[in-house]
Amino acid sequence: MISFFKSLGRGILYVVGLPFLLAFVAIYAVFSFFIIAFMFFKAVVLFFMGRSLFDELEEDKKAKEVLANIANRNQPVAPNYVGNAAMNQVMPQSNNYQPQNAYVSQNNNPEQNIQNNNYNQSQNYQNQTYNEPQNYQSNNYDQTQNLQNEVHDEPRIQDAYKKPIENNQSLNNFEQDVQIHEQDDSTVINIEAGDDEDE
Amino acid sequence: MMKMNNLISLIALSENDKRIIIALVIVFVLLFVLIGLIGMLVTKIMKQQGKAIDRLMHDIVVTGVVSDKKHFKKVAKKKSWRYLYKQARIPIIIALVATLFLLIYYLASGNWDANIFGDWGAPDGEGGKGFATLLFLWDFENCPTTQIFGITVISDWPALLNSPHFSVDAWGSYIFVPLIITSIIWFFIVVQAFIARSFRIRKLAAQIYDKSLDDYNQTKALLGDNNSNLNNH
Repeated sequence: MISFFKSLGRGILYVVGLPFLLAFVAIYAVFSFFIIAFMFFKAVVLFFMGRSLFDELEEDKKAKEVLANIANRNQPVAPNYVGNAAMNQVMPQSNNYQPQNAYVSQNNNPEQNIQNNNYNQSQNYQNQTYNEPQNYQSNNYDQTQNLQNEVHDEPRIQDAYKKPIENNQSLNNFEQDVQIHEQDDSTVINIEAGDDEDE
Repeated sequence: MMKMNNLISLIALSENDKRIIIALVIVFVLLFVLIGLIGMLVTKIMKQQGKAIDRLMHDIVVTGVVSDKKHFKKVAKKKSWRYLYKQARIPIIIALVATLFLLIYYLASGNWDANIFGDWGAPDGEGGKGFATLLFLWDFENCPTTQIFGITVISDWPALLNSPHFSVDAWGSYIFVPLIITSIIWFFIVVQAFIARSFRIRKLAAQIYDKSLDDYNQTKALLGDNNSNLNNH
């Protein structure tokens, strides 16, 4: 009943205010028409300059850069290669990503399996459960240099087997919590940025 | 004495008059309720249309690229104008196509004075070059009337002037009128969305960037209440 009377009151209000509302809409319609005309001529001018009216704004580009940086920092690390889940645990010690008892395979020295920074997983590991992404085939990867950059191109766990980490300086930018999640038979390591114990 | 006369005339209402008054009151009440409901629907639609600004500005705001009210309004206004232009292209193109059809019709018929809206083929309803040939038309100018409380009201249905019929001469109006009406309604919906976005920009700028102590309680903040504003920042 109350809602009925509320609707009645609103109806009376709208009827009384209708001329003013219509005048407001008409003014806005004329204003919009001028905006559209202005945008049309701007579009024509931009067209002849080789640009588009709907190009990204500077602010959009900056926002995309920031989001891309965040996404790269949070990029999940590749799962381990050996099917034995128990052997797939990576044991980080503070900021040192030198794993222990990990990636145990018939070839116990992972570095022997790395030829010119190219992984050929099928040659080196049995029970392959992981298809190596293409970017692991890339060479010229300098772990130290990349760890000092905010954007990382390759997962760090794999990097640990390319070169032993001699000191912690290369991980100065790398204060992140490492969480180990087990999914089915493979282990996926997700690195989450930002949270520091001191905060 | 006048007031007494009016009072007596009110008391002297017949049963039929009373029924008419009650029916009119019910009709007006229902009309106002209907208008109120339509207004609520329009408000709801406008709130939804205003949310487009949230989608356009979300990434820019959450990444901190825009960090003050003035900058936010400037960028949001720019994006709203672009969106208006994008949305308004279709109704404007429809209007231009309709005008082109009308131009072709005038050139083909050679009759530049044709009334494409109201010409229904008076007086016999034959022919006609306007869209009114497809409509029911009544003679409201000569309809029967009566007086109620000094007000002239219609007492019976007026005579029917025209019933819908198809006229070959009116082919231009059959294309132009529906297209132009569609274009006008579409354009006004686009303008409504633009108005909604403008209101939303103003509201968001205040909500995101204005500092408020409305929900701040210092005692709770000092005691480490999780609901205090300080802990939420």
